[in-house]
Amino acid sequence: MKNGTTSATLVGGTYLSNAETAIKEPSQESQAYFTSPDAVAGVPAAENRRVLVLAPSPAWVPSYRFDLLQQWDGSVLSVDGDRILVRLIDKTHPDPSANTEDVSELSFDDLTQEDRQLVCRGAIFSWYIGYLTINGTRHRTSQVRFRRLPGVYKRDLDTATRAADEIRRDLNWD
Amino acid sequence: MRYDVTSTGIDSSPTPPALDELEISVFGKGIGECIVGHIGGGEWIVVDSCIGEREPIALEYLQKIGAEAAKVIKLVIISHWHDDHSAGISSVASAAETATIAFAQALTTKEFVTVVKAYSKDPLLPGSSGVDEMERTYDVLRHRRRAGNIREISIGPRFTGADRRLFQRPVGSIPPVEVWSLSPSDAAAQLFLHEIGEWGKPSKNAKRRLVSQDPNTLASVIWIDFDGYRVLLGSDLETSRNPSMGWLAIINSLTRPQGRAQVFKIPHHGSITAHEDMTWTDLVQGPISLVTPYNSSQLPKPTDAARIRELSSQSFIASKPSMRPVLPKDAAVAKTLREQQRTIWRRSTKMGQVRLRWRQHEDPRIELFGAASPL
Repeated sequence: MKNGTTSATLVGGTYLSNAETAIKEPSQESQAYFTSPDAVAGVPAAENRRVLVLAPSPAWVPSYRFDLLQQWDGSVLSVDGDRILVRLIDKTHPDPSANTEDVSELSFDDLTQEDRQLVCRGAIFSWYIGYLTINGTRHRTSQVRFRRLPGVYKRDLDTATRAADEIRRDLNWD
Repeated sequence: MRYDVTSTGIDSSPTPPALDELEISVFGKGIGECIVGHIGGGEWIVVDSCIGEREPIALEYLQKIGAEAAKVIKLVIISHWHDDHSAGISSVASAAETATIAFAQALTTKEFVTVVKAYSKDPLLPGSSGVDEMERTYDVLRHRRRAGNIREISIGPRFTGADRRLFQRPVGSIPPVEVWSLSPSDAAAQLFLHEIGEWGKPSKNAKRRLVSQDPNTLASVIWIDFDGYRVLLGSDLETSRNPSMGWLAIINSLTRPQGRAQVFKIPHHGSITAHEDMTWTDLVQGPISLVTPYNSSQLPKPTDAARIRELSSQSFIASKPSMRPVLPKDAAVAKTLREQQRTIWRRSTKMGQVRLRWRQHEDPRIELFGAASPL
C-alpha cells in the first residue's frame, strides 16, 4: 500500500492506488491480477478480479493527548561526565521580577539517543511534565527535548554583516 | 580599622561621600555585579552593571544619595560582555550623558558586531547572552553621535586594554586620581576574535545560546590610584598558561602603573581559575578584599573563601552565595521530580553592598548593607 492511500489493488504482486488501477487497462501481459479463490471456471479473468481494499478500521487509529503541567525552557551551562548542568526559565509560572534564575542537573539517561548528540554548552532544550493519554490510558510523563533550531545560515549572517557594517560606519569604527 | 553593619535595606541613611573622599561600592546578588566609585570632586565611575529592584543598581544608588547620574558619572566601563556583568549597562550609559564609555576594542570589530546582530533578540534562545546589552550600547553611542551637540570625548568608546589610562585628574584642590585599564592584552584580544569568529560562520548545526570564552582572558581589569591609595578591580579575568594573557600578562608588564593596591575586588567570584600567586605579591599588599558571589557555580567555594581570607587583611562578600530548592506549585510536578531525583535550585536574589570610603590621614571605613557580610 502506497503512503496516503487507504485502498489498493493487488496487480501482478504489486499494490496500485485506485487512480492507477482506474487508468490501467487489463492486458494479456497483466492478467496476474489478484484472482478470487472462488473464481468461476470459464469466466474471463477480468470478471474474476477482486479489488483488495485495505481501509484501516477507525478503532485502530491511536489517540494521543498531552496535558501540560509544567514547561521549562533552558540552556546547557556545562557538561561534566554524565551530569548536565542547565539553566532553566519557568514558562508556566514566569517570574515578572526577572531577578530569579533556576538551575538543575540532568543526565544523559534522560535523553533520547538523537538528543544526546546535541548536548553541548549553550544547547537549547525544553522540559515538559504533564499527562500523556494514549488510547484512554493516562501516564504522567517527563520529557526533555533538545531544540533543533535552524542553524546560522549564510543569508542570516549576510544580513547581520550588513547591519554590523552600518553600525561601524556610523561610529567611525572602520 | 572599624566597620559598621547596617542591617536594613541597602542603606538606611544614604549620605554622599565628601568631595575629597574615595568611595568604592561593590554590589552583588548572586548573579551579576556592579562597582560604583566616587573619585573625588563629586565625580563617579561605574564598572559593569546588574539590576537592583527595578533599575540598574548604579542608577538606584546614585539617586538614593542625591547624585544626578547625567551630570556626575564621568566614566562607564564595560569590563566584558557577559550578561552577569552587563545587565542594564546600556541604561547606565544612556543616563550618563556626559560620561565616557569604555570597553575593549575587540567589541568594536566586525567579527563581534556581526555576532551581536546575528544572536541578539532571538526569541528562540532563552535568556540573554549579554549581546542584547551590547547592541543597546551601540545604539546609545549612535544616538550620541547623531545628537551632534555632545563633546566629542563623550561619544566614545574609549578602548580598554593593557596599560591604558582612561581618566586623569591632576593635582589641585581635589585629590588627584588616575583610572587605568590593565587588560585585555593584545594576545587575548586576538584569541577572542579568532574564537568569536567561529560563531559568525554559517553552520548547519542547531543554533545554540552564545557561550563565553573559557577561560576569560578578555575582561578589563581596572586600576584606580586616588592620591596614592590604590584599588584593583579584577573583573572576571582568569589565569592562563600563556604568559601573554590573563593575570601573568599584567604582572609581567613593564608599562603598567607602579605600586600595589590596598583594595582588591577579587576576580571571577573568587574561583581558583582566577587565582595567580604573583598577583598577591606584585599587584596588591595585604589588601581589603571584596568578593561578589556567583550562585549557579557556587562561587566562591569554601576553599576559595579560606584562601582569600588568609591572603587579605579583611575580606567581605556582597551577598552570601545561596541556592534554595524550588517547590513546584503543582503536586504532580513535584512528585515527578522526586521520582526522578531531580531538584530545581533557585539562585539568591538578595542584593548586598560593601561600601569602602577613604580619605587622606584616616583609616578606611567599611559599611555593609543588605545581604553583605564578612567573608
